[in-house]
Amino acid sequence: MAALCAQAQQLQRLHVKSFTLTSDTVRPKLEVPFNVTLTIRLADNVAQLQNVYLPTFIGPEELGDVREQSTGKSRTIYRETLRLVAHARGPLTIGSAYLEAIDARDGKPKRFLSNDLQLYVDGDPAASVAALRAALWAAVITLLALVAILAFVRLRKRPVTSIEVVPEQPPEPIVHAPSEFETALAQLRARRDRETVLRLRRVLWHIAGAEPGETLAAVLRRPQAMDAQLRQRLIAVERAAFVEERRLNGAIDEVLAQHGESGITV
Amino acid sequence: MIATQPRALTDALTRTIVGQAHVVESLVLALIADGHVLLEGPPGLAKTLACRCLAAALDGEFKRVQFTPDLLPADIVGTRIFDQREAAFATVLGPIFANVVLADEINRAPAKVQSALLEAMQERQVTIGPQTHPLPDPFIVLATMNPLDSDGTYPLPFAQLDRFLLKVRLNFPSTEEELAILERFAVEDTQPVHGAATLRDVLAWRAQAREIHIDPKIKQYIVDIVALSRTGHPYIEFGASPRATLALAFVARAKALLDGRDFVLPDDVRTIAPMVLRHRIAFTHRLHVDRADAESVVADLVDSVRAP
Repeated sequence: MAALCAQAQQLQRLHVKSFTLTSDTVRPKLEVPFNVTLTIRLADNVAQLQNVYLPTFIGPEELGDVREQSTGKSRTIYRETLRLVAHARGPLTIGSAYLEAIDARDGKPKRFLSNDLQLYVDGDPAASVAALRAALWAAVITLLALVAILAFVRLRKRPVTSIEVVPEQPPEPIVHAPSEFETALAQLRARRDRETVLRLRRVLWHIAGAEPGETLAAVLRRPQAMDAQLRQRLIAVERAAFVEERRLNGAIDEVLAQHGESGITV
Repeated sequence: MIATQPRALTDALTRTIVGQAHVVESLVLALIADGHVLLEGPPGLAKTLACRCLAAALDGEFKRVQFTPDLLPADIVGTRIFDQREAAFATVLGPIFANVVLADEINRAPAKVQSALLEAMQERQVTIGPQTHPLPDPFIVLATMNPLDSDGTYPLPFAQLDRFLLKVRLNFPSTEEELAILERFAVEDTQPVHGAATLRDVLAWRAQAREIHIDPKIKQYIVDIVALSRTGHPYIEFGASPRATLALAFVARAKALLDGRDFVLPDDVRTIAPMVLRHRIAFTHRLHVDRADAESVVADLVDSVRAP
């Protein structure tokens, strides 16, 4: 426990025995909630503990906060549990929490700091389930292959009675399914309205590897959007998405001109 | 048809000022959006030069007021003096009657001087004795603040900071920029470019900017950003006011005009939001205790809102 001098204000006079920050896991999983608990033990009976500052962190989302306090004759245990979820892999630092109070041992105003936490976010649960599923599939396929080999060996030992000749079948015609992009473009040719423009914009955004909610400048910085033709398309469709209603037709013409009339594939 | 003159003005300014592209752009944006700018940065970063260049490029009248602790409101707005020959009071207008006014180190003057200036900025007129005098149009105040020497300063109250449309922080130039500064200023005394645009052009740009289209989805985006500043961020005590919402829309329109568009994009809002919001948000004591950067907090806040 480290204590720092804090500005003298209207602070509570406390005997701080311990001040800790703990997590229920040191390796939280991606998108799986975990708990960080702040515990303060006091050698005083305090009805309501004030000036407790929660830890700082960058990245995880706070889902909830549960506070509980138990008091005895000359003791108080204050516990606050933060339920967090991480959205990005990698090291995660939960900074120190702190409490500002007058230290009853020497009568000086102090800032009591908790420890900080160094966690590591890893293991996409979806990925681990997928890995397990893949392993099971591999086992099943291996088993089936073994059964097939055994059956083949047994059949080869039997005498051949007749050979059935199967006439050669003509190859099935290859049907080219229209891509999402082509569908969106065809819809725009058929229906020239804002909603259809926005649909095409979403598809182009996806092709550029962008997430919904990004702005055009961010999308254009992505490596997938380095292609000059795709950049032009992104810019044209952005214009059509936000231009005034009376200029929408002209903007759609520009979008379609970018794609040509022959149906360009991306 | 959108005029190309706003970009011509930024081009003229960058011919004299090396780097600080965001500062040059913010000055022109504030000019188009009819607002005032607060420039914050240590000495020697071309704050005064930028303001002087803007006035020169517009061929407008430029006045500079060095704010000091002994300055009086009359030193800014003007006063009435008794003319003994005429035996009557005559009005002497102060330096605020100019198109571009540089209020250098605004936080060095006491509150009554600051409020005289800020009132004039808001009302666009000054009352001296019995007469009310309108300020020239266009009229822009460019105030500077030095964040380093805080001793003997009078910090601007939160309500008065809100009068500035933009607050722009100046950073040190990059190595390449500093070499370019050395090349440009060590050999000859570079003069500002004159007449890149006229005062009449500025009034025309303002009229054009008012016609710039903002899609309802972008209006919602602006409102979402401002609303998020009011929803219990650990470092934010008070979020931005509806005046910030209006300011975001004005400046986004100005940005679209500057880029030669007649409609606003989400990118316009995201680019200008930090300089519109930073001085309109009150931060908690915890921000200072944690040594967090207000600039980054606002940038994170803006980035966390999903663009349309």
